[in-house]
Amino acid sequence: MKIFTLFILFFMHSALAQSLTVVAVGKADVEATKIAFDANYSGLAGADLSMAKEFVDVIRKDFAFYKGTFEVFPESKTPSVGTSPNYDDLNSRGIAFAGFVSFKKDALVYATIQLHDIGAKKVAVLREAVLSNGKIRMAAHENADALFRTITGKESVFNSQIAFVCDQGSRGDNIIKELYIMDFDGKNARRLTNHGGVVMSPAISKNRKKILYSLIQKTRSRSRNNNLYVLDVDSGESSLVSSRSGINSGAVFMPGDQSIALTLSHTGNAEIYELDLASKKIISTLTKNAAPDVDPSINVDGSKMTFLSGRAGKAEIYTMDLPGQERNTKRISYVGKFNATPRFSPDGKEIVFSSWMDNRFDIYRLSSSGQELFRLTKDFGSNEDPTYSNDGQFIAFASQRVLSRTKAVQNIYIMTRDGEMIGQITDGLGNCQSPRWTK
Amino acid sequence: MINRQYRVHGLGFYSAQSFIGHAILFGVALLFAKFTWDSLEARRAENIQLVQTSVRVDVVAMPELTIKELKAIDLSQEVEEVVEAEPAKAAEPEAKPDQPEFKVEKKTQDFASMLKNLSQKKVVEKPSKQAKKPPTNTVDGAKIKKLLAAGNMLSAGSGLVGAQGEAAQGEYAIYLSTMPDAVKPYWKLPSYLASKELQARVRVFIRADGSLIKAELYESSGVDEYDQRALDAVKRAKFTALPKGFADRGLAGEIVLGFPL
Repeated sequence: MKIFTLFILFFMHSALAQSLTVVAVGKADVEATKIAFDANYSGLAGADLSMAKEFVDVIRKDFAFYKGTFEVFPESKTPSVGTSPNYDDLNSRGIAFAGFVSFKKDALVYATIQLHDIGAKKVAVLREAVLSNGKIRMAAHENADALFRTITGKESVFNSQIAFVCDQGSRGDNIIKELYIMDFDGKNARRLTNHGGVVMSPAISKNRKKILYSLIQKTRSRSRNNNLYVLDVDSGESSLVSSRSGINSGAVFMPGDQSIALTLSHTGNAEIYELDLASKKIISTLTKNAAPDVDPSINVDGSKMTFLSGRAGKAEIYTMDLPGQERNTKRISYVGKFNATPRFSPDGKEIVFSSWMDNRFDIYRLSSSGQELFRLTKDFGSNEDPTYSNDGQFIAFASQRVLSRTKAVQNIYIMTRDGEMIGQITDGLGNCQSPRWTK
Repeated sequence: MINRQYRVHGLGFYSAQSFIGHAILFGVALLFAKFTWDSLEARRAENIQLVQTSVRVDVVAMPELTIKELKAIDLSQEVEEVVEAEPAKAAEPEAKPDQPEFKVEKKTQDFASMLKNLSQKKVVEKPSKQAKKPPTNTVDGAKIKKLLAAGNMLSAGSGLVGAQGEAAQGEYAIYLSTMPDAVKPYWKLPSYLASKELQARVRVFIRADGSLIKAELYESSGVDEYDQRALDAVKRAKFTALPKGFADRGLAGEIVLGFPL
């Protein structure tokens, strides 16, 4: 026995004496997870059937939106799943998760969604939903988000919306731009304002109840000031927030939605101010420099602001800490002929912006430390006004793509944060720009 | 007495003595100043050299290529070689057809293409000049390496430990730093695993030529699929040959790959 313990001790000693070197491989690339959604529509007919089909279709399309993260089986190739699937068979097809949606017709149509974890051979989540006309997409998005959270542990973009501006209704030189809102996938687009003027740079509050925007009214008077309004989404009422002389623009909500940060130029020089939304009074001046400071963007927890400043002689991107005035102001960008619209990612770790190059704007991404500058768009017209999705994985932007010699249309597109195109989101609303994703 | 001595030697004697004394003092001061200046200068030159070799300029100009394009280059292996090879390749095919055309076509065109070639040659020369620089470096290599390691945040956690022979150790350290590149193409996770904070470590036993003898799980993540994917990535990776004198380390399995750390 003693010899045995000695032997073990000797062994342990030799194992410890070995100098093992640990080499970090780093984070893995994400591989597309195969997912299938099967449905049983028996017992449904007519309008109920088409409602149920739309419900399943929206869930499929939502997951397919995360191209590269999920690979969704098309309906025709979806294997049978059912309530007690053949896990081994699904596993051999490479499917990691399989959903099964069944419907029950009572006074209302109920959907039961079961998500099977194929690897663990169990039901990962079970949900029920009521299908009512006109709210199918919303219900599908909600459930898709719940499934997404179960699988990845993170929120999805499925419940998010995008506010934007379109010029539909313009005639010749009389350009009219109004405020619109749509779901993240471009559906449910609707107009929110009817000023007959030019709406610019919208910003949507965290609770989605209010939208800020600047407006140039088409009045006969000489005064064509750029004034700031706030729209109450529920009532549809707009009210004036700031009509100080000069710029009242580039407003964004501060966390809590009670105050806003915006650019004002009433003193003769454009600076960024914090304004109380209820009293409409200036709380503080955030920037202080002889050069103009514009276009604030604030990270989700409100600890940092990025903005554009001309203090270096040309438009460059800066960050500063909040609250405070010029607290830890740091220049981030040192290149680019003309940089515009810096926007924080929700976590504040990245800044996406557009920059003038080769006679057009293209979109670039930069880490907040000023390193890791990446180009995201190229060769497809002018791309500008980027905005991060609520989960930081996507970037929506306005892109003007030339259709013919006489026609160029600007629409809103979405790409991944690595510049992988997802697709065109707006269509048929004229020229659309200034997308702002709900956070 | 003093007056007498003064008279004995005369004014010339004392002024000569004083002159010599001061001259010596001046000379010493001059030498000291030069020595100090030289050492300061040398320190400065060394610092400049250190800074030049260690400073990583991250943003020089707006990037031309998109991430997608960069990834496409990555797939054809070793970015640096591709980038350097490109101008050379571009110059070559143009130079060859130039010769036969020389007789047939007008001189104006040749002159233009000659200029073009000249300008392209300059582009080719630059990287080679930079490549020559390091050997002429008089600064201690280890010092630069330390600075470089400090500047390169990614290598901070790779634990390049060891006490024997620093110069050779550097070669081994460089080899270790290339290992992740071999594994990375096969190190992939589905989103449901990528989003979790897991860590596994795999001990690799490799031959002198870099071929894998075996890979064993050294530290489990607790999730079988994660461990398996890490092992698979190691098994599919193609490691290069170990530097000379370090074959025993590979055979003894002294290298542990961390997924992700």
